[in-house]
Amino acid sequence: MNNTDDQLINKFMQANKREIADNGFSRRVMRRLPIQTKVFADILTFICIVVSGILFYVFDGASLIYESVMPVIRHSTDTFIENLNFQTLIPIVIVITYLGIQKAIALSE
Amino acid sequence: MSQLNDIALVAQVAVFGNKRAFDTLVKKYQSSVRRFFLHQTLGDEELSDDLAQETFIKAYTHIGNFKNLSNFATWLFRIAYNVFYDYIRTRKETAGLEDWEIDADCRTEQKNIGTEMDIYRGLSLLKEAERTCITLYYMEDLAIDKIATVTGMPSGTVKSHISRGKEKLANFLKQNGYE
Repeated sequence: MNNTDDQLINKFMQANKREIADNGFSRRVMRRLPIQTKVFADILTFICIVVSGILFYVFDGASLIYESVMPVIRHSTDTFIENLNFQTLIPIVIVITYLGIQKAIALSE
Repeated sequence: MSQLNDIALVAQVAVFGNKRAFDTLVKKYQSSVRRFFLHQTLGDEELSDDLAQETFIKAYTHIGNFKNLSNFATWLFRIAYNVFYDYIRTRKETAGLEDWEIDADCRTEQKNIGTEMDIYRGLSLLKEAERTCITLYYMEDLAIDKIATVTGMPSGTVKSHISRGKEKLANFLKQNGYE
């Protein structure tokens, strides 16, 4: 095998090297792919849940949530009561009473 | 850069089952994998496409086994090589063919003419292993050590196959006026 032969083969092979157009091949492959069991994703999810649970316990997450949420609820309740106008409740009470009487009459018939 | 991109895509497929990432890999490598099979089957396009599809499906289902010890292309060619030799074995079992008959059996009528015909005629003169090594070396530009990884042969054996294949091809080309 001399250098000329090597060049001859190389030239011949390169001349016959062609790119093959996709022509729907990749679409056919994607259609045939099986539904993969996402083992890694499942393991990752499990690890994240466990780590989150441990951190929640270590840093006393329940107390932190209670301490941050309760002032908001208290403040909202206080504001609501302070701003409550009893006059706006009168039409509501009248409507509810009317509906209640109607229901009672219907039941008694 | 391309290799890093491949690794990022493989990671997305392996961890999140991202099919779009796999589609990108299929589009990138479909030409070289189909070309590899086309040369192994001496131009049987239908069979080549079936084997290439099987290769990509196997790559998808076994993507967790890709350890990045070799690059993605080498890993994919290893799967393609195994798919082809599994096919040859199945054919051999069902048809009861001897080794020497397999080459001829895989050869199909060609619709192409001219030099494309000549490449398949030339490759048909080689033994299976020689053809695999020659096409991976010249057509897919794989280095000897990569071909050894793909085929599982020692580097010395790969070199011998390439050398013998070259000799046969050179004679064929000379006889057909390619000098």
